[in-house]
Amino acid sequence: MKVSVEERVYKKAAAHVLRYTTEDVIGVLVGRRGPGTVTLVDAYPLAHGPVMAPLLEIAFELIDANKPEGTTIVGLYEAVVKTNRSPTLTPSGVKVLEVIADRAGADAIALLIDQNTANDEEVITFHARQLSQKEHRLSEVPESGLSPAFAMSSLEKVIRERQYRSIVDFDAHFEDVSLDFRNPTLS
Amino acid sequence: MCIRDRYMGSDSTAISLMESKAKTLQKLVSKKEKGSQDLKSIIHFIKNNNLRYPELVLDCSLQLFAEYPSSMGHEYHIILEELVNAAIESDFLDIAKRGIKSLTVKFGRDNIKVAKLAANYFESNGEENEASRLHDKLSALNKLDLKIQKRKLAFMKTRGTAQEYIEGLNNLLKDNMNDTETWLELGLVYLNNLSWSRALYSYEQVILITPSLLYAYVRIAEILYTLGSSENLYQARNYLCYAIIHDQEITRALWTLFAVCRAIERSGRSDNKNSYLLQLCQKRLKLYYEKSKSSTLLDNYSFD
Repeated sequence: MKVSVEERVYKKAAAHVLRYTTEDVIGVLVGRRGPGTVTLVDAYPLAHGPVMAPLLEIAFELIDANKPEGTTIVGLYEAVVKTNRSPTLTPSGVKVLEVIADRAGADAIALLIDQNTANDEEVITFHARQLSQKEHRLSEVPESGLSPAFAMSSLEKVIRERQYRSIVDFDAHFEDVSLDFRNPTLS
Repeated sequence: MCIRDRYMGSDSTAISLMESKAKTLQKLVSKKEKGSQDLKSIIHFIKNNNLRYPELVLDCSLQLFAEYPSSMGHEYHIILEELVNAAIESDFLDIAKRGIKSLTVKFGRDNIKVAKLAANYFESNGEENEASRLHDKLSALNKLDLKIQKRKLAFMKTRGTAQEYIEGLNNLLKDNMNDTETWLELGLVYLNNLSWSRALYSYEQVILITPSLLYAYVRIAEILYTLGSSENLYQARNYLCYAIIHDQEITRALWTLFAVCRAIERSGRSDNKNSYLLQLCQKRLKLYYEKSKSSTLLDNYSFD
């Protein structure tokens, strides 16, 4: 499967990570499926903490009601609090991915976001994984169209202008419904 | 404000208190020409009200040391301590190191406050072995000091495994069974590891100790829903109704109650109250979305 990623996915996912650096974050990816390809079109930050079933259900329904036309929920992104371990999905991340794969009746994509230090600079890297809908087994994406240079150029403005401070996830939205989980300012 | 803060005790009181503190701080900061007294007032206000504005404290204290060094008098080391804390939080570790050196010269290495600052510095600087050694030493000397024990555990959280962290939390609870914060943290760790029934027990302990913490009721309801079964759904409904009676504007509880009542309806084991509650949730949610001018989010959403 080939995965390509639009700019706003990088922006929203990374903004979510930067906003909640002391917590694990998780979000939903929507995109378009083609024969052997998935294009990730948008990201909806979900939570900065454990994801519980009732709110996951409501979040999926609200995303379905507000996502761009012609897209479906195709996967999730997750970032674990900075560690020196190689990026991997948390147990709850795996569960959510399985729900997404079963719901879609197709393989689901996971974007793992890693925040680490390289040459004294903070670097955000993205890794793509694929969960097979039949076997529920996680594997690397054979052709991930993740471009580190494109990702960092997308994030430059988000970081420089501190746009990540205004990111809204469903945890925040359910606290205060005036906060827009679509994050139109980052689109 | 994080989720836990939102539901601590009486919501409206907590929120209005936070807002009034923020307004007071805003007034202090907005003064154009700030003298040494103004800078000290800002630092003391932040410290005494347990607020977190490390960059502001850093700016004010550096300005004090640079422009008004003789004005601090007996407050010199107090402000230096705040400077070190703010520098560590803002990742200006060279400033923190110099501050700690100065405090060590004055008070000695064995001073507890200096040792705590040094431990925090080593942690932030990635010197894990030094930080661990200091945390162990402080923890052994001060078994009754909860802050020191919790700091050691927080350090363990990033270094060790989840199992070690859970063991540490349980050990802390053996001597401090009434500490709400530790039970909340334990509940969160169990949730992250999908141990639903242990998480449930932890949050139940929280409401035994702090019955006014509505956040815990909502969490328990979410866990019960996740566990499934009709009995759990009805129990979840009770917890959520309790939370909503005490704070009608908890939209998270309203959404969760909507999900619970809908699940009960779909299970075919509904009772008279359920349809009433389902309609109440729909009405209230639509009302709050309209009040917040975000009703467009529900345009294509069906409550059925």
